[in-house]
Amino acid sequence: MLFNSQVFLIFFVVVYGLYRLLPHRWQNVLLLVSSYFFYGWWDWRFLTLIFLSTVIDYIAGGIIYSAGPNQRRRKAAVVVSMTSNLVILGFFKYFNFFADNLSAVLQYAGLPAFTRHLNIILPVGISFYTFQAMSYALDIYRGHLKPARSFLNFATFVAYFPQLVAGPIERASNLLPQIENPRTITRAGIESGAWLIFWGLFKKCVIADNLAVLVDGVFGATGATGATSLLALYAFAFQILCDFSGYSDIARGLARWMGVELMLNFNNPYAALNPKDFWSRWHISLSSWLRDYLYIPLGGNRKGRRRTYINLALTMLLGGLWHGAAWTFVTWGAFHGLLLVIYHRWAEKFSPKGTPDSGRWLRLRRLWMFHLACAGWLFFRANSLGQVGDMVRSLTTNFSWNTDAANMLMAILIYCTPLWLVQWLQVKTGNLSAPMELSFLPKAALLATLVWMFLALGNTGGGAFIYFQF
Amino acid sequence: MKISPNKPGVREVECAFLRKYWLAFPLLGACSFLAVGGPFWQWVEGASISVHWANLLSWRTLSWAMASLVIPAIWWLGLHFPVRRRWTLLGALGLFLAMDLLLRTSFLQVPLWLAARTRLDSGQYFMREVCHVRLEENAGRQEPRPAVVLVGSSQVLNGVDTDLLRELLAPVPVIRRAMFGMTPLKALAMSSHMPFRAGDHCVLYLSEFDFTNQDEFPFAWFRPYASWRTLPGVLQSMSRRTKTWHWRRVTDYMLAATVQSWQVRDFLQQVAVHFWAPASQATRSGNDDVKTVLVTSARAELKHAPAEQRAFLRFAKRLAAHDVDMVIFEGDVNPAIYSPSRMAAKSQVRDFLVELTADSGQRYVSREEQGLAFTAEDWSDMSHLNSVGREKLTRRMAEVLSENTSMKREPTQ
Repeated sequence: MLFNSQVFLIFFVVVYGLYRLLPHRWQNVLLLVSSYFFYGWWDWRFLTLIFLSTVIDYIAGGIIYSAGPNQRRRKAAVVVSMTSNLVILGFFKYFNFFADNLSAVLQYAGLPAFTRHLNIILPVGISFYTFQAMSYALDIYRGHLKPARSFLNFATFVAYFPQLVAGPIERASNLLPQIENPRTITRAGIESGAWLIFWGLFKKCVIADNLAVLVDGVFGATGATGATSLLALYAFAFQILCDFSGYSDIARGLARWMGVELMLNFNNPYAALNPKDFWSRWHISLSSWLRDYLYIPLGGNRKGRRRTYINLALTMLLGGLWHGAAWTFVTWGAFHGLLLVIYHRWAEKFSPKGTPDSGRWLRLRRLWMFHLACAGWLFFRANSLGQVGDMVRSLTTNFSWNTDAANMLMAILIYCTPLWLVQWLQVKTGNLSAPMELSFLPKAALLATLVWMFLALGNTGGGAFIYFQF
Repeated sequence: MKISPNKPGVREVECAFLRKYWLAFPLLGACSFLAVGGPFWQWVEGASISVHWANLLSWRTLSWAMASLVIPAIWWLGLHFPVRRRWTLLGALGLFLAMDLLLRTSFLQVPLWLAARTRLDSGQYFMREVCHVRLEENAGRQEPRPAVVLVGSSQVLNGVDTDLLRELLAPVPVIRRAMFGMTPLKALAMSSHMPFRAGDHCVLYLSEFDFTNQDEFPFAWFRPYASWRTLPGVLQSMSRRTKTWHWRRVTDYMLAATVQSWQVRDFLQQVAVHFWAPASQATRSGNDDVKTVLVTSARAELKHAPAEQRAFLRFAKRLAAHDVDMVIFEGDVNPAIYSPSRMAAKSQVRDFLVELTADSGQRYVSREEQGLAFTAEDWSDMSHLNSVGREKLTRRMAEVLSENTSMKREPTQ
């Protein structure tokens, strides 16, 4: 069920109507049932996977906590939890990738090829809810969290429908208490939630889905010129931002209407000044998950400079692989790992301390970082590494400006201008709610324009969110 | 959500912006006025744009620039005299309604349809015809004399030479309101865009081919013609099952009838994506599959015929209400695809039309009466006439219309 579909609208109206009428305990029952219904609408068979993951982590969490000082028992429980989650994820997401690559390596070595290729359907959002469930057991193991008071609460935490299939990847320490305790719905929450839902839908339907048509036209064909390739890359940068942050905004808005505050997942990532800043603004819930449960356990920056760089690169490489079982994603992760390593080295050597950057220098750094991110998106979006090579070649040898490029540039400007205005205001004020705090005329003009664009230019084809496939 | 507490507030940013850029408003106002005077229409027609900057100093441009100062003035007032949130929302609603109403005026309609038409591929037949109809509609019907209004599908577009018919029927005006894929249901949906006047003759070319709509609820077809004047009739023609099953399309249709921005969205998107010119040859979508289907087959499935028949009855009633005569020419398809089932469908539709015209005193011109025996050489594919067939049909149509109707009567006062 997609947020940008009429079916979801009906689903949410019914669920929300009941939600407002029920007492707290029954609200959680309703949330669990509706979350399973929401997920089962896509394919009910995969509900067993969520349920299995939920049961394993709930039991593991209980064992870890009750084991007290018995380290062996605690460790055994956490290992069982991690292994079972990773086996499920690995099988459904990575089996064919590893099998195909193993086969290629064996063939290359002149050995008999491993020909098993399973016809596996990737369950929507498996990477999101698996990571969310894993964080629960890990947090209890580290002593940061107490187990959930009831299975109902924990199952609701794992399957909470607004963020079930594409995040934010919530931590139990943030979401679980909000599910366990009675929630308060405020007028301010309703108003800010309404803005988040509308702005998220606008980003998805008007910007992302329209840019997708342009991007797919270039990446799905051969013989694009350098100019159209470059513009398609820019378009993809905004498409993926609006697609993913649009989903997160809608999720946060819906949750806010229910009195739940989900974590911030995007904070104007293209305003980042450097790779480190970028990852503190882009998919914050994943980058902080990787930092807390992978980078720091690997040693973080506590074991010397070289080890820090290795840890960074490894974390980003696995972050790339988390996105999808393809070499393009792995290369994208490796590229960002390399950027982070170079940045850390550069910052250690050259970064002046204590002198704030001037406005012009800040803008230049933002522009530079944006282009580095775009270079990464080339690996992310390309259908194969061969296509990356083709596009780079066309950029360098066949950069001819034609009508298609001029049209594409204008389309990007038309669709993205509202986004840039809103983000400019948010960055300038450091306030993500700034558009709602504008004075009469700009606010009325902004809302009227957004509604008009939504109706006149919105793509209502109900395109799926890109991150559903992860 | 405030992320950085050290940054300026929204109001401070707005004040600073106004202080720094208030002069940009009259400048932009002057430039937009200048654009409307020439470059805008050059852009609409996809021509190269030339700007006469000297016109910036004309008194009209300058007064427009002064008028544009009202924007920063209202903005400034809003900053110094804050209004309640509900007034802002009402202001937004008012602005949206103003934008939508403005889009309904010929001030924006004419450039929209012209710009969209200029930016279409050669294969986008339907959208091109919609642009043609809407442009004609905006131009208004100048001729007071009763006219012949040609209604039908691509069989009429391809099979009747409108220019020749105009020549043969002169001085009677001939208005083309045929559309690709038109069926009675679609004709009913579009009828509010048909410029009927009392005394007109609505000429239809109908056969079983026109009652074989393949899409149960062709909302993409309805959308650009949606109107509350015809929507109830269209929905009433459909079965309850169809309306329930296609509730999303019903919503879409109703929204299109209400909001102009939604109604013309496909065309606005066409302009947004092809802002300067149509797509180059390399990226154009091919219509080869459609052409292959047309050459080898013609639709014959009467699955949705009951809804089409109900719609046709409503369409006929609508014509009668406007005191418009109906002349139905029995249509035909390439004899190469005649089959027992097609012949059965043909006779079923023919009986329905004969009965209807007999009851209402309208004119039905059968194939026998037309006296045209089309051979395989007259067809370009299975359902469309070629230039030879087109001329035969047009001449015969003109003869029948001249002989059997009071076409030459004086203009109504």
